[in-house]
Amino acid sequence: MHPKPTDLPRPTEAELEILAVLWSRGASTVRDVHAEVSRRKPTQYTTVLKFMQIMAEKGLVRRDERARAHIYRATRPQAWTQRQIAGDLLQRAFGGSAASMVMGALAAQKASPQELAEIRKLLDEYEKGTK
Amino acid sequence: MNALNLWIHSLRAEALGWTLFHFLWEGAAIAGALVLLLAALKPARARYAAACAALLAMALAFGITLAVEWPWHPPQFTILTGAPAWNFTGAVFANGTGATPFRWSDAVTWAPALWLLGVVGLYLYHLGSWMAAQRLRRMGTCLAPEMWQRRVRELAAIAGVSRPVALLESCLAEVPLMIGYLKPAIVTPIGLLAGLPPEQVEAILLHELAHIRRADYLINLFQTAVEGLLFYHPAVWWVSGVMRAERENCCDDSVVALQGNVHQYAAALFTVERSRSRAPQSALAATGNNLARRIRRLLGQPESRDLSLPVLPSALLLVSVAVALAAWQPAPAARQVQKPVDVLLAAQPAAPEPASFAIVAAEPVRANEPDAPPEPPAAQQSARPQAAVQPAPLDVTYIIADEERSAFLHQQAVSPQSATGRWQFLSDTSFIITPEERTAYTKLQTSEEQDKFIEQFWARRNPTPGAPTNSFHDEFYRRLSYAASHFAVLGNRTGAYTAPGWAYIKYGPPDQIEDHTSDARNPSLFWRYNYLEAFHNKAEFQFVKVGENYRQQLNFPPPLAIFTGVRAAADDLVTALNNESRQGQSAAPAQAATTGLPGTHATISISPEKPMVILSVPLDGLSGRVDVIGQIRAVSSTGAPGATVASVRDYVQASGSGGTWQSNFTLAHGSYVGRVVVRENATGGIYTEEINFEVK
Repeated sequence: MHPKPTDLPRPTEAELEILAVLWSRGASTVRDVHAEVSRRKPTQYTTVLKFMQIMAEKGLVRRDERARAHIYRATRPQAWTQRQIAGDLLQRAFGGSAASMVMGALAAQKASPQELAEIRKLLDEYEKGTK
Repeated sequence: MNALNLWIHSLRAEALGWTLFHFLWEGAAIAGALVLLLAALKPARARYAAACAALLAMALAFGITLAVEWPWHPPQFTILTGAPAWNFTGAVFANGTGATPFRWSDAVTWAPALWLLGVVGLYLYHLGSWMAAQRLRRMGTCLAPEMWQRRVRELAAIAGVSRPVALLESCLAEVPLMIGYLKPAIVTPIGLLAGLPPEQVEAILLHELAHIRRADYLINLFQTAVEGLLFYHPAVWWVSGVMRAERENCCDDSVVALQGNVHQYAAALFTVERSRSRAPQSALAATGNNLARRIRRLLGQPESRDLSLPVLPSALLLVSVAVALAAWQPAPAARQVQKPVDVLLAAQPAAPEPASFAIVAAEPVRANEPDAPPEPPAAQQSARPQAAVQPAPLDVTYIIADEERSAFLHQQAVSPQSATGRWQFLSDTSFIITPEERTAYTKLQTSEEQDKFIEQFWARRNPTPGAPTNSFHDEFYRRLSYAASHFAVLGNRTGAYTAPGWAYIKYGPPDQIEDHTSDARNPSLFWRYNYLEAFHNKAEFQFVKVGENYRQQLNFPPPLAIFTGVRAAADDLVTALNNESRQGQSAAPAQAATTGLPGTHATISISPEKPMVILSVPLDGLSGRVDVIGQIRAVSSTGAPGATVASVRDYVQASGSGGTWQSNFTLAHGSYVGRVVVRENATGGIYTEEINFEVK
């Protein structure tokens, strides 16, 4: 069964923290996730466990119960969740132009591969020149 | 649609139109100055300041121009005189509508509406973008690890940011960015903080902190507002683009100044850029933030090709300057269109005394009808060139004295001759044909020539030459038949020759009608037009019911100035009046002239906008047929002092209970003296007055 994007609830802030850990680490035990989350802010192990159980019920994460320590993984990849959030009407209409309202170190428009190659070359040359 | 039309033709919209027009060259000039400044300035901060100043100057230029053009004291519409029905002389304008060439004033008419539409659209779009940006803070975000929160506080202290800065991780953001002014937040993509070497993360954070310290978020909001307001000018977009580019350069410089390691920072930018997800993203407006160029600048590498003055914006700049310059010439002319070329309508073909005065007089209408029977040879030749040459639309001022004009026309219309198309054409078109055309037409011999003339007559007025139908011709005859069937109020006279019929044919259906015909004391009908091209103003006709017929009066905005007459002799005019035959009126023998009118003094009022000079002669204490001569002489003006620039000879039926006789003139600037002679036929009493006045 593959739920459509609308079938899954949008993750809350706390849930997103846990999902972020699962996305970056891959499948993890609750202990691993707790270790990671407590680096952000001090959290009880049981709190994380409770959250992850709720998320499993919601379908945000899947639990693999074959091992002694249950292993959790995110049901959907980061890009999917990103699309889900970006699917919000306002974001769909104005998400693109929102870039003109924020300040960023990088342009809203992605650099082309040629441009990246050019920058790579510039950096290499600079490094050679200073050595 | 009606409200839009009203607004488009309002003085405010006109002021806006001219402001938009003038900003074309103002904006181009400011951008030009910025081009020169940028060529001289190297440091990013100075370049940024120059671009900011340029954008501010553009906003100020627009605001000041608008303030100058704005109608702070618009004329309010009121009825100029409460003249009773029976004794007025209305001024009537015939507008020879030639094929109208494109005029800048036309563009200016529509520009404000389109501009406003654009501004509202852009602002709504910006509002949506802003709301979407605000959501980036809340949707799909979580606080960054405590360690980085702490580090941001330290870096903020180093960077000189005093406000608390939140550090968020977002699964929506693709690049690190900064949102908010009062409660600023730095939003980084999930995984960036953990995935990059700490020094590189710090470099990126310092860049965003530099934005916070410089209040760039707030400045960008103002910038967007100005950009949206002046969106139609490419120079504005270019200046705004320079600002965005230099703003990033400023932040780059400040990171390098704090960290001291150029390569490390450039490498951080490169890594973040490369790590952006390859997934196609929604189309974004290019912000002209070329990363390769930025890094080259950071590393002190010479630009491979100097694009500091980009080709496209410069071309756009040149075009807008050219357009503004091209428009500059016709512009004053376009404004002059408002002052119609008035033509002497007297029967004497030696029509207008050239240029020295804008107008000459309007003679009584009776003198005005085609009186000369067809004249032989040369006439045909003179008719042709006339038809071909006469290019510009002529605004012709003439006076409808009273119903005699209609009666005359009607007589022609029903006379046996009129069975032929000859007189039919003249009577049909009597409200729009110019005197020159009329003279030319009456001199034509054969019906072929007349047909040809009629064809050309309509062709000249065709708004869309070449089209299968002539909308002017069709509309004219539609109105003529409508007027004939709807406004026939007197016996068998056709409705086209009654006052409302006349107004309907000339100006079409009014925007507003007020019916006071059941008012026993002053039965009248008001027709209001929101805008009449002939007057460049709104206009109101008052049709006063007299018996079964109407007489009309045109009401103008209130006068700018009113001058009152004084008792004075006018012997030459008195003599002229006395020498005239009395036209079969049984009149008392002539008496010696009395200085001063029997009732109140005569006045000259000058109405705004045209400017229109209105001579009013109160008829209190007079009754029966009253002959009037009004004469305007120059005291000092563009013409020779002492010259008579306008004169009117008319008569009215006075009731003895008041009323006013009026006549209108259009005069050039200068000082004048108006002289009035009134003769009451029943008693033979003659009264004279004169009024010194000035047209400014």
